[in-house]
Amino acid sequence: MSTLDDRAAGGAEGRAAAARVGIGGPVGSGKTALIEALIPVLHERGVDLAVVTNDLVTREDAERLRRSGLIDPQRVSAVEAGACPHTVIREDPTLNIAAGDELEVRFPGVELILFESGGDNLASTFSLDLVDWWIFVIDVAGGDDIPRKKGPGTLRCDLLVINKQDLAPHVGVALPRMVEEARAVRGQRPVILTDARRGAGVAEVADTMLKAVLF
Amino acid sequence: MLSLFATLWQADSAFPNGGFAFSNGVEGLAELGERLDGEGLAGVLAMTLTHRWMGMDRIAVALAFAAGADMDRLTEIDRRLDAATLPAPQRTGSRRNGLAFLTAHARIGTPSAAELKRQVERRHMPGHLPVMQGAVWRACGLDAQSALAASAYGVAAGMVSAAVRLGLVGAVEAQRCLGLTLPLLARLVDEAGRAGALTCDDFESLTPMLDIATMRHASSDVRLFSN
Repeated sequence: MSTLDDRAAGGAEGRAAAARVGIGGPVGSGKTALIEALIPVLHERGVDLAVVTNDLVTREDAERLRRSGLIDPQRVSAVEAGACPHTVIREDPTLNIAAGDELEVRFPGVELILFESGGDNLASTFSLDLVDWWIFVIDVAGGDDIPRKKGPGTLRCDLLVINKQDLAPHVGVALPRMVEEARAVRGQRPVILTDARRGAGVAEVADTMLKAVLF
Repeated sequence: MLSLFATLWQADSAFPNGGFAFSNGVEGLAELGERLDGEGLAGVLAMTLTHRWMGMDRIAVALAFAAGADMDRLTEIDRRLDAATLPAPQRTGSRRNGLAFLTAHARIGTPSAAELKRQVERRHMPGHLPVMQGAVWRACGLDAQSALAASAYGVAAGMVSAAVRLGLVGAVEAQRCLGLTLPLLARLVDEAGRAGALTCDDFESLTPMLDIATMRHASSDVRLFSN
């Protein structure tokens, strides 16, 4: 009889091999657009990449990335959030961890796995069981008072991205004050302005992320 | 007493095992227009526990528990359960839930969990939740009867939780419904104990409405749950 213990190499499982980065934020803030903009930049920097998406009621984000032509569709995994976008990245991240592990088995050279949250509110945060580092994406159209509300997502993320900076004059947002307040509530930890659709600020996001988790 | 605490630990909905993402047919039944108020939900629970859990999960948990760390035997049970689970969404859901369950236990360092996870990831075994539960829960210190109780309770509690998130019943009404199901859970686990040893040849289920609902749900474009 062969037993599990005979075959077990070391008992408890070791930590994941690839760096894992979470990208969270409110619905519509531009998380998928940021990932679409990041993928070519990361490829340019030679990063072996995969993505896990958490769609709330459809597989739209996963399908959007798979059809984008930016990344091998096999490198995009979809995890349903069971109506609980908080739970799947924080209280019970096991489905996401398993999806990441499975990508590592299928693509042994993968260096970086991005986990896109299904869209949530300002209270969402990533479990450090799941990711090594995480980004929270808000946008100027959501209101320049978001940083002042001091949501856990805004405060605790490793990098705060304020997206859709180009919309500021159209939605009556005083962008400099929004950035100043964001930096103040975050204790001067990183805040980057982006316009993901046009690529503005995306290289800075990529470099900040890579410096934190790969180099 | 240790077995009781191990059972509470593993039956706690706060234990991360991926189960929250699966309605196991509840969302499909709702889409078909089934009446799923407290009374209707209690009927679905009774049907599921009596005609699916009793003939499938219960046997798989018991056989895997008895197999312990015998990899060849666990693989055989797992493959037979896979073959006996006809609706594809149930098979897929049980396998994904089983892998998530192993993922938590592998990180915790529960004996055998990391190796089971490797076998599943390499497609050497399907990784169905009841089989993984039987093997891992034995290593956690549950006794055989408690493992059956935790399995049955997990099925019922998971479906009730899905019904709440789908807005079919209120959170309090859902717990009333679950409470009313406890005598049935106790009776089934007692019956399972008295029935003695079963084999993989005894796998059976008869839940046609639930199966149809689950299969129709798989092709739905908009859904909250994986199955």
